[in-house]
Amino acid sequence: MKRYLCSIIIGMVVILSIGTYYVKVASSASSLPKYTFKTLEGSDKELDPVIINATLQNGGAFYEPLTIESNTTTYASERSYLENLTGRQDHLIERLVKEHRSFMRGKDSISSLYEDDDFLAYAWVNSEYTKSGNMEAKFDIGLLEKKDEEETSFQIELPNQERIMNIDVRDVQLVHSKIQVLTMIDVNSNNEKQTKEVHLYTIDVANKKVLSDKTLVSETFTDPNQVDFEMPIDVAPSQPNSMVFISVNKGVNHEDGFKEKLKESKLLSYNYETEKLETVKKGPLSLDVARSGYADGKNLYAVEMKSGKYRIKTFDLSSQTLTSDTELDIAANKEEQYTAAFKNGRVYFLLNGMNQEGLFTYQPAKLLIADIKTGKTLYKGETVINKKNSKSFELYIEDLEIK
Amino acid sequence: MMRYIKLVNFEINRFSKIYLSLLLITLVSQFAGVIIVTKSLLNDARDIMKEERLSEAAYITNYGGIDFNHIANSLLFVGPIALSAVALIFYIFLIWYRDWFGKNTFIYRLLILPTSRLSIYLSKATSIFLMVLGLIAFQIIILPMENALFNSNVPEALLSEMSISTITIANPILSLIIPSTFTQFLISYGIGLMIMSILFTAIMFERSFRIKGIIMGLLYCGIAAVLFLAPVLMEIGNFYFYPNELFGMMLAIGIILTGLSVWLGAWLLKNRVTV
Repeated sequence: MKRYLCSIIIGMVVILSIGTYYVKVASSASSLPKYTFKTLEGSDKELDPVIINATLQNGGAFYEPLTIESNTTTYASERSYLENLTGRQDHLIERLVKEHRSFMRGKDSISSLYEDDDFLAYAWVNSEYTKSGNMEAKFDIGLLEKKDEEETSFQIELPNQERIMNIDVRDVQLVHSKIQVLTMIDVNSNNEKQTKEVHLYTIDVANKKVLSDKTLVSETFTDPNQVDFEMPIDVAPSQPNSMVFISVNKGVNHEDGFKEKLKESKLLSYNYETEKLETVKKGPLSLDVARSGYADGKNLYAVEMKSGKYRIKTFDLSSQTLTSDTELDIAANKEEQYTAAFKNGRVYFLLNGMNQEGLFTYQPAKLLIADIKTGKTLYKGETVINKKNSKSFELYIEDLEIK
Repeated sequence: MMRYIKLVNFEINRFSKIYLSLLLITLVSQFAGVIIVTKSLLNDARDIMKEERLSEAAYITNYGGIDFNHIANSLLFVGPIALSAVALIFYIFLIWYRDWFGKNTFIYRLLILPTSRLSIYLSKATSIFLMVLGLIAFQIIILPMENALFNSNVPEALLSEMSISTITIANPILSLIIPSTFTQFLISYGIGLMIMSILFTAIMFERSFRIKGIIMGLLYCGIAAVLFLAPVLMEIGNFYFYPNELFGMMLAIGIILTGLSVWLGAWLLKNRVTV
């Protein structure tokens, strides 16, 4: 026995120490605080489609991603290795992968996808920079006919690519069986002038051809002037939408930061069907509120804070009028950040609970679910934790998804 | 079986002096690191507080607390880990070649032993792997002690305490040798085993065919690397795999490669290696 002492010691130490370490790691995950929403008003059935992605933090020393789905907290460390390998996915992409696994290979950008009852379309720009610094870009186009799973995929040269420095696909639609690709472009320039453009490409899938390249907006400016394009958040990015919004923000870069010239900024709407580009009238909605809103192709929803209350304004796109303006039954606080989502005729409104300075005060996050049209509260609740000693943890909410 | 265990024990005993020195160097250097680096961190903090006339609380809000990360990034802490890693990688080769080029060409006796040559091959592999794990286990044991020493040396007002698992996640080298989950641990050290078996086979090629064998060994390593990375290489060629498919393929290829390497290495040792 004595001759084996060295090996026996090493063997024992290895098993005991590594074993204990990983048992402890596993058990510490299950001792993390669990968050649930305590119902204050309404029915907790409303919580079923709500997915909240967040991280639990404690100073800089602790960082743990978690998901609260249908009122159940799951930490990333509690998931299996394979689940974490795939990572957090938009539930829409997850469903599409399940239904059309082969078509969805390599397609993970939600704004590049379009889905209706019969078709699933995809458009992406694959760009590479050559050694001389030029960009070489190709459209990656895919169209799936759902009924017989017939797939058309091809690559096609991006027109006029020599003048483009950078291109970003922002929306894809299928209109009269042609794929429409809305892109934002930075144009190459060899002087001080900078140009940014919004282009709409029309692609004929049957003949594998780019039918047209239309410049919707083009803005040229020189430093310190600055122009940026933005789009209000698309509530249903892959669904058929006949209308999109593009906000053009103009301003000047001063030494102490960016100053916007609100009078020159504007909000544009483009209709894929009528091919009309219009400026949204500044009447019923202030520009600031409108462009930080949420669009679903029929309406633009905007959140406004007024005299201590949050208000939801619904702007009808076809008639360009406000159709509803309701108050939410939740106290507004400038220090708190909100996250909103619009779906199923409801507004989901989540107040962070954390103030922006990140002070170590624990406040529960509040969730309100209300009818968009009437503003009637359907659910109201706030987070509670199942452990008393977890008050030093902070819950950072990253996003709110509705199934 | 008994012969195999005897051989493993024999190999470990042969390396025990160097191994114990590695453990000792790690112990001394890391604890010295904790004490020395903590002192210099505290001095720096006090200097800044004096110069800018900050209170401890103000210092914390401006510069953040002092945490174990500073220690874990210092040379005295990381150095012995790197030294041990290099020593064991080097020993992958030495464990074979010392038998040929040592004082009394030990390989004669080893190959004459009435045991299957596979168990010679496996015993060498096992002892190296066990010694690697031993070093990791040792680090896992002394890390909480170092952390406790650090926590007691830093005044509470300046300290930002870290748990052991956070320390291992935050430091790139520690997170490499002590993966954050058990699955990741199995995967990392599984890959380590695979690489070791491939290197062993390359050594067997060299011992079998000498100069020609070096080329064959290098070729074998190259082919193994390309095979293992084939799914990833296909992705560069614009074919997309889902993450779980990629994982499944690499797992399968890894197991096959390890099995093949062990079989080929043992076969060469049995049939081609001459003394």
